[in-house]
Amino acid sequence: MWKYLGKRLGWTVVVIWGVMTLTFLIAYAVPGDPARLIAGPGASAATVASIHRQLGLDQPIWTQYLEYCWRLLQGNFGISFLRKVPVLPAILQRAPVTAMVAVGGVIFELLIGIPIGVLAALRPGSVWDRVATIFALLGLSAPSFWLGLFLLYYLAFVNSWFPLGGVGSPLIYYLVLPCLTVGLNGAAWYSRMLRSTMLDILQAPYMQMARAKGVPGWLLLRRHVLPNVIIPIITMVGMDFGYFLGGVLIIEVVFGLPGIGQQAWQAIQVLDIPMIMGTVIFAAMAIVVMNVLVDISYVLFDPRVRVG
Amino acid sequence: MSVAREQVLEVRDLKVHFPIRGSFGRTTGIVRAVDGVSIELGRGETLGIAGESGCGKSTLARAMLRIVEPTAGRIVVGGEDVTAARGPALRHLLKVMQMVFQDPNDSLNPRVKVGAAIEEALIVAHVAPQDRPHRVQEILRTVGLPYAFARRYPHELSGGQRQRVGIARALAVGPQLLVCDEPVSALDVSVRAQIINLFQDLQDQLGLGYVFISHDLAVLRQMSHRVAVMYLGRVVEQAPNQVLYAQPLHPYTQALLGSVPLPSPKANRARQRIHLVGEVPSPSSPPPGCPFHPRCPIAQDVCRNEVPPLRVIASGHHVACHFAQANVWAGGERVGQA
Amino acid sequence: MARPEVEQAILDAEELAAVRQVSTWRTLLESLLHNVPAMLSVVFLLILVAVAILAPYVAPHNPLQGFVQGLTSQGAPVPPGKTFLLGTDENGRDILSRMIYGARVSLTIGIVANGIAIVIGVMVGMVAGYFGGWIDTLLMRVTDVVMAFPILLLAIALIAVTGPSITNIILVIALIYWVNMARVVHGMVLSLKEREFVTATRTLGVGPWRILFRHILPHLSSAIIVYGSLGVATTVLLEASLSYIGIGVPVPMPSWGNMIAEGQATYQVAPWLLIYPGIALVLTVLAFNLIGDWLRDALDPMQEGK
Ligand SMILES: Nc1ncnc2c1ncn2[C@@H]1O[C@H](COP(=O)(O)OP(=O)(O)O)[C@@H](O)[C@H]1O
Ligand code: SF4
Ligand SMILES: [Mg+2]
Repeated sequence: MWKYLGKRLGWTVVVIWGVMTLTFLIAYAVPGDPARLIAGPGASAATVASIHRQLGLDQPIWTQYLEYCWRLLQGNFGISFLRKVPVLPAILQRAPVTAMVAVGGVIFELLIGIPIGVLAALRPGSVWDRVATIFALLGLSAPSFWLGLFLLYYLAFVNSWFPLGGVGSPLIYYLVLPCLTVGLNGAAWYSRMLRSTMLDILQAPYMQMARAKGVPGWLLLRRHVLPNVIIPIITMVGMDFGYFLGGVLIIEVVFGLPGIGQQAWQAIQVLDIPMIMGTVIFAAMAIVVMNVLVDISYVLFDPRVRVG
Repeated sequence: MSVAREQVLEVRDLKVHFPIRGSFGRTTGIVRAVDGVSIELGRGETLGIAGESGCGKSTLARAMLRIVEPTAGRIVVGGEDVTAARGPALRHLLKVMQMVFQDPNDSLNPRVKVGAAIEEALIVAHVAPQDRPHRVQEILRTVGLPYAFARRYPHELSGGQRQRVGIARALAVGPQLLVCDEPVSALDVSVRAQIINLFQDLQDQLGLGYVFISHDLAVLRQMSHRVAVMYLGRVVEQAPNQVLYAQPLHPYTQALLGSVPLPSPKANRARQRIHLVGEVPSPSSPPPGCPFHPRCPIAQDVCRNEVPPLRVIASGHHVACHFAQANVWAGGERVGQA
Repeated sequence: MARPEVEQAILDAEELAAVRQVSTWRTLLESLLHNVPAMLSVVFLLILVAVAILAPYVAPHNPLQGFVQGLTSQGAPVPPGKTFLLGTDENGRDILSRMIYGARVSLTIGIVANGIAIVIGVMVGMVAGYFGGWIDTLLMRVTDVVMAFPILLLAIALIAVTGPSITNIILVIALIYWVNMARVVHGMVLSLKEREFVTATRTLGVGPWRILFRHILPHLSSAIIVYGSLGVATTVLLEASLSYIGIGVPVPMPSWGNMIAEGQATYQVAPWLLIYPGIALVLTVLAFNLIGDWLRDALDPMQEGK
């Protein structure tokens, strides 16, 4: 078990290194002067020159690369040229809102996705199953920004049940629609995954036999189905959470939530490269960390991994 | 029997060991699939290889064609050591020696037409593009299939026809020697005889040599000049055909032959049958001493401690049993009840 | 040399062929006729593609032109009506015409970007899976790293430094999406290369590239078709998201994504600005998803791996 975790952690280090390298390549190896990009479109020639020197762009690419990695490891993600503040603290300051949307999104996903998937799997071919399938496909096909605007229009504008966006107090009131939007998109994946995983198990010969012998349904669910679906659900929740942490950009834009996504969006509008790259790195790190947590939970939940 | 003949294949003390990987890639043991086999084959000769399932026949065949890597030993084909051949040397080996696989359903690509499969072998053999259709036709005729079959997919053929395609493909590179790994055991009983006849015809026409693997001793009796019997990765007895069937000296061979009908009813009745009892031990933990001793009806203390070497009992007759000599004196018919 | 067994063999084969020689195209078509949603999707996409190609002929108005009669006296967008079937936007441009031209952009990006992603992914997956060793480790680690990024953010970062243009969007999407295909292909090749027919072909002396392209690639075709059509769905969505954020298709060129973004400002008084491009987007993505699902059932691509 320790060996397994050690291997996974070692692998995490490699991915983090890969993330740093890839972002370096994106920011520094593209044609043109990175200093120009980093300084922003409106910067004066003197500013560009100073950034050029500051980043060591006159040095060989290897030195630049190593210094870049070293800066990142120290938590120095650069300075936002738009807001003239260090990038990482700015991101961390905005992170709570994003984290709340992410948690709420995961909760809605599970609340919506699991019942639909289970019902569809228990009665394959029924009306329920059809409805669930259509729901899942629509959820997969509707872009989140459109879904969000749709909900805003009907639930907030036409029927003023929810606020039209932004934040206020109580906060939860402002978070329901964004979380529901995230959840509706995600629930589609859960219901699909659950349906097919459960159908595979329920239709396995040993299950048919157990049912024929009169073993009660709930017992079968607890003994055979639950252990088999818990692992994929944990995996998906972990990955979603990491993904949402860096990725609810669009939702925050639609609902005007002051999270890291909205901050990144503002950065995009003015090509604030340090802020954009900082958010990308932060999001990738969030995903990497969540993957590690998922790995640890495997060890806790899956007896097969524990034995090894 | 000691006719000077041209040696096509010589295998010396070949070993193929597979590591057993446990969880997370640790090596937890070794399967000694082939554990010191020596065989040789002359031009136009057939060596039969017998033995129960799992005794290492396929692994031996695959190692000879370098499909699996030999762990130790030497393989000499047409005078060239190919044990570690790479690149051109390996391609040369594959031109001299080819393989007919057990199950043509698996060994033919369902997405490749018969003609294309054979043509591919012709490309390897550097046959000029303009000669290929003609050669495909010729080869198909040699294995008893009409040219029209070139346009078919394997699933449009019967089992026997598919195996003919498998043979045709191997022949297309122009080998002197075919290694046939149970080439009829996946086929319907009704077509087996046809395929065996085909093998015999091809030997007469083309002077092919065969290493012919089968667990069916009756088939080997019909096909082979010599037969080697394998047990747990080793050859335990090897002899010219008539000798082996008339006077088997290893208790294992005797037991195997016990399940093969003899030509005359009288001989059948006279034969004392040895029944194989117990399971074949696993090649990952072979028993010490003679590998056959847990199942051998005449095993003695020495058998449990000492590995019997493969000894020459008579010209061309090799047996790995401490009591092979005694069995000769007993005329190969009597087996002591220890 | 008229052997009786040969004649028998021919007879057997003809019998077998009569049963088995049903073309895969026909079975595919038959399964489509039994799958109403997939059939409707095919019809819808065929019409959409035709409309996109024939945009200059079918669009009622110039998509870039702001019409005077396209704005109310207060300067607000005109709701759906006779002149402007699906209404106009805040610049007085015809929504329907813009959607028709938008289909062109969305489909082109979706299909071309996916095509490039498929070619890269299939090559990488095949090479890594078949040759194994350090090439495998390297390529698969690269895919791991790419997968560690949230797709949208990675795309944003790439486009932010290269500048938004259709070419860049296509390249960026392809550079991100090849990873998925590479994973799928890699997994399949790992099991395909252990199949006996590959061993048999290698034993003939056939080289690795020929084995990859002649023997393994045909077995990947189902997976490529299925994941390709599902991939177009995701790609169209990604393009719309990028355009919505403002770094996708540059305005004033219409794309469904940037139409929704532009409509967001006035959606409360002119909801049609959101509804129609949104419906076009959802239906298109849904159609590709439904076709992907149908193909997955009909072609059963993973069966090939086994
Ligand atoms: N690639 C492999 N890895 C591990 N063990 C193997 C492999 N191939 C064969 N074996 C083992 O080697 C032994 C001999 O197998 P095989 O040569 O197929 O026997 P036969 O053809 O006589 O039935 C068996 O115990 C089998 O499980
Ligand atoms: S050596 Fe002993 S155990 Fe082995 S076969 Fe001969 S008699 Fe039997
Ligand atoms: Mg075998």
